[in-house]
Amino acid sequence: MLNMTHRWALLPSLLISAPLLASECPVDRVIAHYQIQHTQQTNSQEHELLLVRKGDRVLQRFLQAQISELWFQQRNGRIRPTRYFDQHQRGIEYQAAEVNQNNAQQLWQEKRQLITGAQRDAMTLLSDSGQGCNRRQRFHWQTGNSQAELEWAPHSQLLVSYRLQHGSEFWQYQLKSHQHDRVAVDNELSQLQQYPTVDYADVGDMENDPFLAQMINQGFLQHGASGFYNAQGESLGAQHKDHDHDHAH
Amino acid sequence: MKKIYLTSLIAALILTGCDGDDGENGANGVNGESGLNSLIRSTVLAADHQQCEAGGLQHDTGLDLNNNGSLEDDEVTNTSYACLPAEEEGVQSMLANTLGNPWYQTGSNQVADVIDYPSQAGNAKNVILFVGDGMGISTVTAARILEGQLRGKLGEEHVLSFGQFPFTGLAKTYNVDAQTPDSAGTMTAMMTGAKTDVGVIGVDADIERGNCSTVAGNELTTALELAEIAGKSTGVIATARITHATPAATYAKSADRNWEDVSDMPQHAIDGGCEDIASQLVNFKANLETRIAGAHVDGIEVMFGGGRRHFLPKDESFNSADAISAVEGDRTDGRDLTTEWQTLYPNGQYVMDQAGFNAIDPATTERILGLFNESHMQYEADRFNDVAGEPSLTEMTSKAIDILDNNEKGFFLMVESGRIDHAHHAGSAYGALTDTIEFAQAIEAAVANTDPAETLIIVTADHSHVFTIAGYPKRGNPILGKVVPVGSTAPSMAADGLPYTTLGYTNGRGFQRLGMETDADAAYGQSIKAGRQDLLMVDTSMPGFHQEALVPLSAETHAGEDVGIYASGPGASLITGTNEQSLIFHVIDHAAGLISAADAQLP
Repeated sequence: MLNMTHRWALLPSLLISAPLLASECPVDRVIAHYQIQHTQQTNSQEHELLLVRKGDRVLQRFLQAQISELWFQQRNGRIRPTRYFDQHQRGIEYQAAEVNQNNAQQLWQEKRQLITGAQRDAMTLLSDSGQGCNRRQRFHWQTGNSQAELEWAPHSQLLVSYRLQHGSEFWQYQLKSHQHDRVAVDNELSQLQQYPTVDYADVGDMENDPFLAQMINQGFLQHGASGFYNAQGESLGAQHKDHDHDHAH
Repeated sequence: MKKIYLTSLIAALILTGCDGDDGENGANGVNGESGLNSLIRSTVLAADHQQCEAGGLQHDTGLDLNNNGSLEDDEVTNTSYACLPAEEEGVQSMLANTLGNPWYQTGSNQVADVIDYPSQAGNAKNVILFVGDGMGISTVTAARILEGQLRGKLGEEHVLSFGQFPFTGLAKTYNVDAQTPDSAGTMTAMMTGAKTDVGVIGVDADIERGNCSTVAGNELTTALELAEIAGKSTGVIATARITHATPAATYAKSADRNWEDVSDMPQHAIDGGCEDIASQLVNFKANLETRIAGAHVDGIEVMFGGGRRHFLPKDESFNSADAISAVEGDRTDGRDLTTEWQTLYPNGQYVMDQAGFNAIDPATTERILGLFNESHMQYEADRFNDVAGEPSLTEMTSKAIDILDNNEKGFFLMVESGRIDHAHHAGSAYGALTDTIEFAQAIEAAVANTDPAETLIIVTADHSHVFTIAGYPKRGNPILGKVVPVGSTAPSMAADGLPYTTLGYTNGRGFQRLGMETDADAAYGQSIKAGRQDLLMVDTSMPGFHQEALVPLSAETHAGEDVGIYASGPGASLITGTNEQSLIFHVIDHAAGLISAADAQLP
């Protein structure tokens, strides 16, 4: 089993001291470590998310839940997820989403950047400062009893911070560190891809597999669930996604 | 013949006067000579008599000239016949309202068609075994209704291609250790003539599943292997991975169906010398020649299916243009079996997409390996979504036959529609039925491309699913629709006040409403939603609709009832009654004389 917190303690904290040249913060090769806070009424929870990008694949690692989702963009634009379970060192392959090209692009952006271009475009730009990898844009959005603030790094296409208030519910994403080291990115991906995987279409013939019996009953992120999990592997915050959806449209 | 003598009766006619008075009596006349009796001799005629085809009575009449009370032949002055009517004429009187009925005529014609059907041993030069994975009786029924409705018919009267085969029987599908079976045990039974345990491939029931050391000594010989030894060409087609249980049972021996490549095997199995299934496919020739002393084979000529992942190293540099995963291959031993196969067979062609498939010239192709998908091939309804394009089951079947029939000794071909099973597991009747329809069309193509006098075609399933056709929908009601009763246009309501569909599942993930989604497996991305749902405003005929299920399970399950066996060609008449599934091998062997032909090739 991996101790992700320990692993990340070894990584340099590079958020503000990132290199200035855009070529040194490539969009398609990055590991970003986020702290996520979710507060509802008086109940507050914190989670850590590792976002890894490499070309046509995006990995989201939910560190407390020890669940990871690897999204692979096929040559035809469809996106296929595989979910990995660290505790079992196994994976389940799901089917590519059958969505139209526009929706496929939005889904890909959502997984890759945590926020879509359309959502960002719907916000008001408050400031634009810095250069190269240190360039930052600040956005604001408000409607009814909802409001959001976004800090965006355009060159690396990373969400630096995002605060969403919807009534008494509050979400915050905060980028804690990031790096663009090729070896680190490759290691992060290859480590998970060593896990044996099962095509979900085969699950019907593998009911007696205790891993599958335990894992396949969990919800999935694409249609309704948020893609965020608590330490028990339960999906969190479908409302969060709904708010984003309302916001974007 | 029985002869019956009857004395003629002379009827006296009494004239009765009227109105006038009677006259006086006259004088007595002179006595006359004694008269001759007129006799009738009736003889019962058996059927096929020259005068009476269906038999009857022959009536000979004449005078008893010698007055001996018997009518001799030379006394016969007249002969007439009272023939029994020919059968139809006789039936005509009893079944006047039935004979013209098309249902009746169809059945009558079918009986006539099978009289003297050939079943001599060794008459079948070619054998094609079609296996609809999970294609239980209810699936066949629903698919034929759907195909009929798609063709503008009411549907129920429609017949799938193999529904027209003259012989049908039932197969008991249980495994030696399981009441409800899986594909590994059932296909092993069909291919070897011996039932075995669930989950094992090509080995008998003395095996311990997952224990490599129990394989040796328990291997069974398959019909495909016998055909190879006999010098026939052989082929394996599957829309599942070519290493999946059903196709694997034609060529592999494995203590576990899941050992599709080396990464799926426990270390003790690797250390114990067991070979993964994909490797066994590539090494088929060498393995068979090692196991059967004196056998000389040239290897399987046609292999079409999915499952590239089990043939490629776990290294993204080996990804094909058709990859659907970040790293397409699964093999952890670094082997690229596609290149190994091409090295073994320099004249063989390896293809991986529709374009490569289309480029195959059957007239000149000696050997072909087509791996069209990283995992299973697409559902037929979803095939248009494949990254690089892949052929249909019908296309693969036709091309395979065109290649295999280049061998004058004939061929053995196994064709599996593997994704009927997967669609049912996902709770998608639409997916299962549209794949069944494609399966039926592949069979139709096989019938058209082969000589029925020398080709035994058997169509069957390995097992069924908990898939039901329920309620009392009216004739012609859309099979994917809600139950609408006879005389109504509104759906029937259940006791809970909600409408319900004709098709449903006893267990599984249950209701999904995924619109035009044609990939049945998309339901696995959704939460389980078993039990009743309000379907009033739901279009249940949409591709993305998944039927309700009673018992919530992560995937719908197989069922344990019998499945149908449908057969045509030499030896087909042996398919009748209720049979152990292992009978199918014996029918194939009898029809094609596989064992004797193979034995003749051995020293």
